[in-house]
Amino acid sequence: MTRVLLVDDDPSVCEVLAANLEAEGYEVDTVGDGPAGWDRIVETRPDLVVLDWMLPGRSGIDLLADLRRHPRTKDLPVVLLSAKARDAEIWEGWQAGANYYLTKPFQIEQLLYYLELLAAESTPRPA
Amino acid sequence: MELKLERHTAPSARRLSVRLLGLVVLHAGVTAVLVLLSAANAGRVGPTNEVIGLAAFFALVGLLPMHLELGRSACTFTLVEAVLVIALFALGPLGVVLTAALGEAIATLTQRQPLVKTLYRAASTSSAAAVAGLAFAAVGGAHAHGTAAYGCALVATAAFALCNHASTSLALALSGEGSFEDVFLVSASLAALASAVSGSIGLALKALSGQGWVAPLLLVPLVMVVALETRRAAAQRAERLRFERLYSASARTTGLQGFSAALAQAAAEARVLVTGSSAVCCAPDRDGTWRGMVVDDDGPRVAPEALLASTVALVEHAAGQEVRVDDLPAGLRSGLPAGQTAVVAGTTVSSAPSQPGGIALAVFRDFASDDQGEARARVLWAFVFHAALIATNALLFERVEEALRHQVDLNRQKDEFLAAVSHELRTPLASMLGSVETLRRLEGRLDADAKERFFTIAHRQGKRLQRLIEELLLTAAVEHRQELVVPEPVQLAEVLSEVAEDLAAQAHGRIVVSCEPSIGRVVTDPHKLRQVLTNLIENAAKYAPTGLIEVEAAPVSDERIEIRVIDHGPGVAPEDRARVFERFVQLDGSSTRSQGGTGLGLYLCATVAELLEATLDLTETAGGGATFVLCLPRSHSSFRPVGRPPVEATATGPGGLAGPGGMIDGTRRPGGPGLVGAGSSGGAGGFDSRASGPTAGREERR
Repeated sequence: MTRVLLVDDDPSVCEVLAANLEAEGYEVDTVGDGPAGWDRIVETRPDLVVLDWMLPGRSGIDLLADLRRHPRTKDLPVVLLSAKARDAEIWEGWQAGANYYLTKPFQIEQLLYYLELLAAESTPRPA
Repeated sequence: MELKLERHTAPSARRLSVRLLGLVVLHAGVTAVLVLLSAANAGRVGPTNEVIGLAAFFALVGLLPMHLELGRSACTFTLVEAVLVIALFALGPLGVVLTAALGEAIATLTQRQPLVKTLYRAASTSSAAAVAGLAFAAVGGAHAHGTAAYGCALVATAAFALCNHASTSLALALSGEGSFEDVFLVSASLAALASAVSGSIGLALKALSGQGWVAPLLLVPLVMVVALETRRAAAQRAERLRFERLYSASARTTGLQGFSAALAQAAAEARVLVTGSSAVCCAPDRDGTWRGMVVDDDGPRVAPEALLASTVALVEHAAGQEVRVDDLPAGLRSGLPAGQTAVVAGTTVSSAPSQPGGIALAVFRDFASDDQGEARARVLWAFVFHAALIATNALLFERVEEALRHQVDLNRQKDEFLAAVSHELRTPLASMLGSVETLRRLEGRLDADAKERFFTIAHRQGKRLQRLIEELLLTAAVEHRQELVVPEPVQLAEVLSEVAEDLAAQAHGRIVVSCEPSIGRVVTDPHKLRQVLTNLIENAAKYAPTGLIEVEAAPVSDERIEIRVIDHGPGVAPEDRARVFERFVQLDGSSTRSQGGTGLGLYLCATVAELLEATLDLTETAGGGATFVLCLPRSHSSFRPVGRPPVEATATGPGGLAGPGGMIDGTRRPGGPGLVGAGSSGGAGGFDSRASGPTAGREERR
């Protein structure tokens, strides 16, 4: 089963996402701030990450940049899901290494579609 | 003879001294060789008393400078050649050298010239005199008579003048006036003219001395008239040059520049204008604080405190004068360069629109004061008005620049605010739409509990959006001063206990109110005061999950009352205290208002407090926690006991957000609140619109 980690400090968003992802057959884990998100990724090695930008402790964009710097996490598929919707911010998100950037409010179907694509890409991943 | 050329830059005195010393050595060498040559040719000195007498005469005419001007060049000359002519006839070559060296040394020393200059002039004069003496001997002047003798004397005088001119040109070339040939040629005709005048006077003296001792004295009035007249011409020329410099200095200082740069430039120009070694220019800045820049050989820098203070005091003491620093009272001297002469101009009191608070300009000169001191003070006085003008312009320029920066800053803040608003609106909208979409997508697969949860999320986030929009509109209204303050006399104790009662459940009964009974009634807008207090207490309840929330009111003066909202939570770090009153600030960097606020509450508190003519500050609770201090006037300034504004005008307010039936009030439809279960954190708090009133908040509170 594909394991998804949700890193968002808004419990409502987490709950909404968790319900939908679980219904699609994903195994969902949730964490509410930046440092905890990093620890959880290192510990549990999820298959996909849905990451918020503005997080307590450490921003999602910093976290993503760090993930991309580490050889073991640099290919980890990450979808940035943020209320930051200015062009410059979206560009910054892509630059940091996001596989997809979704702005809030978002279409659940769209997120599910992206995750499906990413999961399909990464399943036959060697090593 | 001393040439005066157009020069704007004073060369470094130290470097010039070293170069002049080199010339002194050269001249001394030349003199020594020539003296030895004369001695070898049985040269004689002559009677000692005549040597001394002629040396004194030499010194006397050396003190009587005359001025000659031809085209753009001018020179100062003395009648030393006249004395030389007499000496040539009376003394031997060695005597002539001795007379010239002694006389020149006495003259320069009497003028209190620097030592190196005295040495140079004595050496150059004696070498020229040695040349003249040898030339006179060579053409046989000692044995000639009548016209032949006069011719010999003229040849010797010409040799003297040639040597002297060459030496002066060399000295000027060394001090950076231009190449030797240029300096030599540009003033050669002047030098020839000067020596011809001087030599002829000498010959006339010689001729008249044959008629007895009274006859030469007949020349004295004539010489005096010439001397006085040329003196006047010299002064005029100096004056003209100074004004030329003044105009070019003014022209150079008209660019747009900052205040310090303007002061530095004024000081630099003033320094050149009256050829000083350093200059200070001070003026008050926009706050009225005196600021000063000093300029010397090392360039401009900020004037030290003592120099600044002394310069300003100096202007009060001696504006428009040239004074010796050492002659000043002890209190004035601190920070000023000792042993120098100061040219002072300016005023410390505003006397014209161009001088908002005055200007102080002082130029310090290495040289002793001379007869041009008054003229220098005058030209500096003329320049100081220009300096005041450029200082004022610089202040204006800085102000305009700052206004522009402020505008750019405001624009950036507006952009950031818009981005923040967009972000703040998107976050709850995402949860709300997400919940609704989930309910639709997974309709058959959700149990009743889950459905209820998503309905709750949707509703709660909707309420949060509503509150956010209301507060945004209120923010806009308050910022554009469209919110009217309706002051009326109220019992403060009643307002406090009402607010506390309203929030009691939300704060789990932790609110304790204490109000000094002496406060009694205050005149303020009770609705707005309630809004501020509600938000402050809600804020305390959110961020201090445990401990009492104390609300204390006490008078601090006859006019003002302090209301403190004290919590015992984690508090706010001192460096973050100002930021909590900014819009959309989450101190932890998160995007979500985990505590359910909108990020506008405290900002609105501060802004509404301002409307109430109150101040709102954040301090620390003793023992930990945050204390908000609202300092409220007993009476609002807009309160009119008679003729109050009609009630309708306040209910709607121009462009106000509280219009009855307005869009944002539409949530109170019957059936609407049905979703608000016990678990809902219904977001409506203090800053809901007036029409829905505090009851709306009460109704949907936890």
